[in-house]
Amino acid sequence: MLIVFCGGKIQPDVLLTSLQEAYGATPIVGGSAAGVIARQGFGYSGLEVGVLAFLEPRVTPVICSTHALLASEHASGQDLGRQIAGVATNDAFVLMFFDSVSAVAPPRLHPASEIVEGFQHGLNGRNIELVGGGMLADLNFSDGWIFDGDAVARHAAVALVFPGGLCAETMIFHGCVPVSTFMTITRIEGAEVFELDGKRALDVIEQQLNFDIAGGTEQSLSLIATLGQKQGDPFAPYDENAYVNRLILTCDRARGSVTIFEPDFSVGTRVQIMSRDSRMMVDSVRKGVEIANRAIGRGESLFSLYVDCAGRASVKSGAVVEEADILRSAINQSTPFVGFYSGVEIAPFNGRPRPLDWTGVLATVRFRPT
Amino acid sequence: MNAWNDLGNPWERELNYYRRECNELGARLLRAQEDQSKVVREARRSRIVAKLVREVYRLGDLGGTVADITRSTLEIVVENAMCDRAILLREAEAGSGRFSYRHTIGMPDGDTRHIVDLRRPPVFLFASGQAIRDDAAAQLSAVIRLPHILWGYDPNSRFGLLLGNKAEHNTTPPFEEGDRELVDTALSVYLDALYRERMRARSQRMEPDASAVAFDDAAPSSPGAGIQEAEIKDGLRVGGRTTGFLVVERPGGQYSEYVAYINVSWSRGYRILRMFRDRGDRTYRDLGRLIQFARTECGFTAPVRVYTAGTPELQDIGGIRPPDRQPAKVAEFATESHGK
Repeated sequence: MLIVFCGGKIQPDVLLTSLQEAYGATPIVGGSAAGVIARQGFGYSGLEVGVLAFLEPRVTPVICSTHALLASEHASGQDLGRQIAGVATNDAFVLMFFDSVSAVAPPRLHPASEIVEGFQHGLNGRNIELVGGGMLADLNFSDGWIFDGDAVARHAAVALVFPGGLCAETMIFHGCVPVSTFMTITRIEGAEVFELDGKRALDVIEQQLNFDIAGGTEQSLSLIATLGQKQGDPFAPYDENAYVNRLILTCDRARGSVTIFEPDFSVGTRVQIMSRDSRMMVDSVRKGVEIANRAIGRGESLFSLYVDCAGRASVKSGAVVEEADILRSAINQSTPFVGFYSGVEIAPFNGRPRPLDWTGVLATVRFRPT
Repeated sequence: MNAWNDLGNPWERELNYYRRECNELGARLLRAQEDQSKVVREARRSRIVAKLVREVYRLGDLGGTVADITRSTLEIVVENAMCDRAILLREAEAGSGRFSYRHTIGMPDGDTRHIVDLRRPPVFLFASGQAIRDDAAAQLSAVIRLPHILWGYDPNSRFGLLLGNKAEHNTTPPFEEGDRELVDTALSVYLDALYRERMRARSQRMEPDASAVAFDDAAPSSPGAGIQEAEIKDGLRVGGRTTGFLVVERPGGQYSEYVAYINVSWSRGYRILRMFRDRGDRTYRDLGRLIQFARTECGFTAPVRVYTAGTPELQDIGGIRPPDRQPAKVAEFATESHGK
């Protein structure tokens, strides 16, 4: 089986045919990626391809898929969860990829939180460790697709259920700091935040920041500011791991609203405006890789996968140093490694799988200690 | 203390004060972060040209085929310029407006065009959200099927490079005048890489004593086409030679200017010496320096004949440009090698 990540300028059917010609009737999963990260290099031009090959049956995952995200993300997630419950052992490690872009004009994403929520319902109590990513064709959210094992698919999700003898150690790298006091969401519909502290959300944010985050046209991509929800004690000292951040996808000046990546905030949620912090992002990766390398050294590791938010790429974040470059060069050389730039990352957070923004998720898959 | 109390609850005021300061500091931090992002993106843009030159020249050194060079050059352009689509085209005949695709990246699956007609293509054009769009921009947009475009065209080689973006925002800033350097450089280094590949291929076909043999398949130079110093150096390096060198004096009011016509073994006919990037004829005020150029840079050791523009003999020499054939007072003399 092959896990393949390919840049958006590559025609997926052509790549699929080429790989099938080269490797025969091997199932191919994965999808488009805004960029690919490998030990030898990384890039986000749309011309990259990353491949991870599974040769032995004892480590090869089972493929499950759903193709109905457009109709209902929640129902699709539930369907996938049911399929997985039928084949997964308890605490199995599961990788999931879905295409992030639901519509382009105006931009709309397939909300990962609804897929994950449906997925949890479908699992019906079965514990699994879920890591995943939303696939993008480029950094501008213009398209996305997946390889579902047989073909190229849109509005679909594919999950890889690993054998029970394997487990994963997951690390989440952050990089956002709060730049405002707490505000309370007083009106929200889905992912569209209408009011903060009883006032039009867009006005509140722009007044606070004193600059235009909406851009020229209505409902165009914004991707500048982020709203963060602090978990636990709101007045505890800053801890990057305590935040769930939601990037603002679009703004609507007429409605005075901002639409965030996920519809998982509600009325009463207290949020802060967050800013990316390049230095913290890099430090977080450096420290995290050291820990991951120790974990890799402890047992027989199979591979490492890095799901990296596209917003962390230097061209988007403005970071002078590429954190993906630091990771790929510092990670333990003894284990196969591949990564990709994603629209959203999914990782265990506070004991359950949760979609994350602005994070890098490093999963190292290894044989479960006996 | 009374003054504090008169202004309301001091704890609440203090809390509000820190809240305001916190928000203001945060806003400043976020704006500074946004400014830094812009600077990084601008710096990236300015590094593109240097990267292009380095990477495309490396391609030439690796000795790929013309198809390899074409494909790789466009990939390097796309990778560095972070654009959505790119097309490299060549006009069939000068002025025909009929362009054929040499390579494309990122075009939609259903687009099977290989030839397009472009009426009076400009040498350079960009169309962004803010810029006014004329007919030329509209026809180029239709070719690449995207609204935001950057175009460069080299009339001498008839190659054109068209880049396009689907949208403009913080990752893909609008194309601008400053991007001219990008397309000009990309075309220049691509043509140079093609030329070097051609030279390399020819030198591999040559006899062991390459320097003594002229290229059998020397291409006739198009009438009035010029030659640049880089081409001469590359040609000599791979075994070509300078077979003729003559000078035309262009009398001026106070001083005369001298231009050189050079005949090389890899093309037929004399070609006027042009400046870097073909920006104009390379003229000299100092005839001595021009003769030195013939000896040292072109390896031409035979006598150099100097004609005044318009001398009848120039009518019989192929490749002389019309302005230098215009009738004028004739003053012919010769210089010889070794300082004679």
